[in-house]
Amino acid sequence: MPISEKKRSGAHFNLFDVILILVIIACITGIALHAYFTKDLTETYSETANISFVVSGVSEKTADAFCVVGASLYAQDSDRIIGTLLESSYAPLFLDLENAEGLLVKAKHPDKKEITANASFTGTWTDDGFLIGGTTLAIVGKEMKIYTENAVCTIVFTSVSK
Amino acid sequence: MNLEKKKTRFNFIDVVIILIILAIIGAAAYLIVTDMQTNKTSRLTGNMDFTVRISSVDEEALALFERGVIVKDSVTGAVIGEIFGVNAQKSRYYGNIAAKDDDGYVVPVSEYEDKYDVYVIIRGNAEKDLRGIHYINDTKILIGSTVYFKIPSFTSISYITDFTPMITE
Repeated sequence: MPISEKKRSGAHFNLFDVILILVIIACITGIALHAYFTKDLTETYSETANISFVVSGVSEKTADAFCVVGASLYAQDSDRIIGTLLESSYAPLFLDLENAEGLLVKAKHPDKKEITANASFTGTWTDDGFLIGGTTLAIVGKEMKIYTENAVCTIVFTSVSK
Repeated sequence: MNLEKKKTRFNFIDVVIILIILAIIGAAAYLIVTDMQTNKTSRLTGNMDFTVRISSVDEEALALFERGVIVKDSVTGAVIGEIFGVNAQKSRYYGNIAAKDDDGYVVPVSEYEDKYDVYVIIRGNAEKDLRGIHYINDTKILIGSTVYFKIPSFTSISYITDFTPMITE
């Protein structure tokens, strides 16, 4: 009596099929990740905010290099343009020190300067405030490291407005 | 009785498919890497000079700063350039009791006897990206940038205080 052959099912699964499927999944994942991470570099924001800030304790050379009206501002942690410098100036830095009588006075630093500036930043307005570049919340008193074509500085926000 | 042996079949079509997919992975990886470097893609390369300040250097160490000495990044070990010029000024100490002068109060300043702020002019091979920003290795050459300075027998954190635009080759 002939033994009936079992029909092979159409879904014959072997090791190489498994490898192929895993590789295809890896490709799709890689392409998706690539699209996700590069999206931020190309995405543009149409909303702007007028933000004032100070940069304290810099040398006169740094102040001269930074204070260029119209300069593009870049986020330190990326290469995105986040704003444009509208106006800026610098003056001697004054520190709160005690005098000989123990009273707190403003004392002029002989070497350091303080930059006062105003810039237009791009980003998006949310319920919590303005997100610079869609990622950094601009809060009065907060620090942010930025750079221009000539200098890198740590700025402290002093006001944020539409 | 014929028992069909189950065995893993590996045919030519599978090989072709694997090669194609490996090629896709390679191309995707290449695109990802080059995209990450897009803003750093140099249009121009050439020599440029920039000055770094190293604060509070002991007087005995000043002799190590000689023209022609190779400067490296103390973190990565990459060559940054070579010393082109050196200028040392006595380091300053700023007091915390305000001193009176004609216009009000000032922060008092004194100089250390044996510590110096050393300004080193480094000449290195730089790249300039599409934005006009110069790079040496991965360091942006901007006033205020940190340079992990290393020469034989000496390492320190330094900060860029000046630079001159690139001399194009």
